[in-house]
Amino acid sequence: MATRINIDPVTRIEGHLRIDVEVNGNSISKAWASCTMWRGIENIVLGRDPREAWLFTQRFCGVCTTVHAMASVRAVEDALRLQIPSNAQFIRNLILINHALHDHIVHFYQLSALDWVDIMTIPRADPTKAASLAQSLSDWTGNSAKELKAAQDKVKAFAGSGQLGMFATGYWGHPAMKLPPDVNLIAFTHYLQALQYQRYALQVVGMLGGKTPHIQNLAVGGVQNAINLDSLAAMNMDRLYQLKFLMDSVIPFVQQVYFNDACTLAALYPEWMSYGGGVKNYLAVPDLPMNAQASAFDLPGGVILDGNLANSKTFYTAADTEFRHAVTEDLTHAWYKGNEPQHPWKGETVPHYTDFEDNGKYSWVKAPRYDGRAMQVGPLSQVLIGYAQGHPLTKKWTDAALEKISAISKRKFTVNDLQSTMGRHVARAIRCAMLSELAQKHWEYLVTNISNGDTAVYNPPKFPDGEVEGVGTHEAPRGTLSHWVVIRNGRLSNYQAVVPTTWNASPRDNRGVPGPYESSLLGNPVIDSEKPLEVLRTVHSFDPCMACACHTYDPAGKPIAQVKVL
Amino acid sequence: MTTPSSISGKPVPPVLIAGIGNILLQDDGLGPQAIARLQSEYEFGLDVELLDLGTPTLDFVDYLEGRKIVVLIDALSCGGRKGELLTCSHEQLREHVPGMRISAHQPCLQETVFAAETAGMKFEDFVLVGVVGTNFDVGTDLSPEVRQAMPHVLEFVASILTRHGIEARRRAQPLKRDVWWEHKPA
Repeated sequence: MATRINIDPVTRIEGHLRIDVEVNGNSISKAWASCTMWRGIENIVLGRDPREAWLFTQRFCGVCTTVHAMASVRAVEDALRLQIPSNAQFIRNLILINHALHDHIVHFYQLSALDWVDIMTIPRADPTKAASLAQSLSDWTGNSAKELKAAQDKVKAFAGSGQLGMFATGYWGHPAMKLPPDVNLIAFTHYLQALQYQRYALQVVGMLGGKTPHIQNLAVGGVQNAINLDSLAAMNMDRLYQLKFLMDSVIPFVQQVYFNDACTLAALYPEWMSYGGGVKNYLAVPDLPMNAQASAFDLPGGVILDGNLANSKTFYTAADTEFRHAVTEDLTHAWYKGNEPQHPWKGETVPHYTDFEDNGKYSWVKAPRYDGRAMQVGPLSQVLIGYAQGHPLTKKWTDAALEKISAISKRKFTVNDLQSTMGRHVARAIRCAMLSELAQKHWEYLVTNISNGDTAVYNPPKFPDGEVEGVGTHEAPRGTLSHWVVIRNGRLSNYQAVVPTTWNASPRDNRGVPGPYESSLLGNPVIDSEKPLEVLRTVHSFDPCMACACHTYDPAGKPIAQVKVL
Repeated sequence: MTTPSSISGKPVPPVLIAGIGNILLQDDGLGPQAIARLQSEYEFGLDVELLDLGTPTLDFVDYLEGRKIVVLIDALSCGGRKGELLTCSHEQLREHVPGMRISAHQPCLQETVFAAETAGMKFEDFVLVGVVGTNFDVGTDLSPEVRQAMPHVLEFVASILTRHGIEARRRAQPLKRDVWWEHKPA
């Protein structure tokens, strides 16, 4: 008998996500991903000055604000064919890199680790043994028995008092939780340390952006950071070295702790390297331009179809001609009017709500398609595309991860095993380690350029009469983000944001092809349908930018349990 | 741990008044709107910082470092009649079991409070001032109920400061405001 499980919203920060699955014999046979909030938020910028759009767009989402600001100015600059100075590229890159470092650390530890780590076993751990295990896995200096004991005492205090606070709703004691207490203690110790280290990356964003969230330093045409090595008020050497100090603090945490923990988790949950692959078409755009012309990038982009790494396509610009033409949004199963798939420049956002219809319309998310295909976006896409192209930095960290996972699990894993639920976590850690190296590199680009006497940060935009179109892309922490603008006589006449979560949380299209969340859930195990931990594991592996609440339904659709999980 | 204040060398004002919420979702914009109003209608000393923090996640923790008094202004999604002004203490925020959210941004607030405590931060006072919202659709205008509550929010925030002996004076003549979300499209 099929059991239906529904995962419903908690937060309105970015939009509500609801997941419905049907479970047959402890395995998922059908899945639907639905966004239950109308995202016609783009309409708010229509008729406005394109130079101000980024202030609005970075309030689209409560999690990834910076990325929407960046994609917006890039879209307007693309429409105007406006090049920005090298310094502006590097300052923007440093903001994007550090935002991503923060975001990945928080996703792994604060938003998904507790799907795998049962903290209620921690009182039974032995801090001394746990410390020697941790020290055998990493050179990190924060793995002392004293440090682990302090974390254990923290858990004992709140577990003993019964005041679990934000930990009240975990799936503690779930049979799918398999880590020994000592490993759980190590992970929770790093959870606490992550709270500290993610802040350093954010401080870089705040120093360069003026504030975070909602950076203040952007402009269509560059940035507003005044550079003057002789001024105390402007960007000077002192300020640049403060940035370096912060980045040098967070980098060891990424490389020695996060990267190690993700590999260790994969090695201890090897079965999760075989579930959750889903859509195996991958998309990523190149990012981190290395010069003013944006003719070379430090992070590669392209397309892989059907999981075939031997046959990948490379993108050479932030929005290749093919990309500009290949993206459409299908409305068949989304609560909007319109029959034909629409290109974003021609896209309309006219709501047409029906009830949740399993075979009809069931989501506020449109179904983005690339050349008619559902695509997966995010760190896994980024890593596979880089690996397929032989990108050295991607290869270095991916091979290191596979070697580590294979060594700990005593089983051979290859890059193809990353096409899985756990693979997405490992890929995120690989991407984060890559970004930590690039943080230093782009800091050096900036300092070298300034030292050579270049202080330019801004090229003023000029808006032509008539109509121009542009697309701004950013390969964000959750994947490919694109903002599509149409500007008529200096005012915005259309604006569409195709965000990473729309690609991944996409509903079915006119051919009935499901999106990545939906297809990745098929075949996932569910041991206890009243506690669908495994569903959350796979959904969380995509890093959805929203919190979920979990309701369980019997086949008649009556709620029999409700558990809310962040 | 190094603090932002010690890195930049700049002292952090001991009092933070932070507005939280999404300015593009009507009543959810209460926090940012209240900050804009406080900036124009009240006068504060150098010991007070006003910030529109929008929709922070763990970004928030950094703004708490070095503070003694923290006042958060946020739209509430439950707990009273429409437009009602409610407050919530640090203790209540910490102990609140996820599921019955007080604030619209509860998940991030709880993690923020936990992270701040983990980092060893202690506050003399930490209070959430909220108004129960009615309309969270796309738009930058508050609902009539929340608009009516706004002057009380401003007075209440000022009274919290006064109670701690911190100056918060109403200006005889409000400063002219230039807020980006109030610019009208063509």
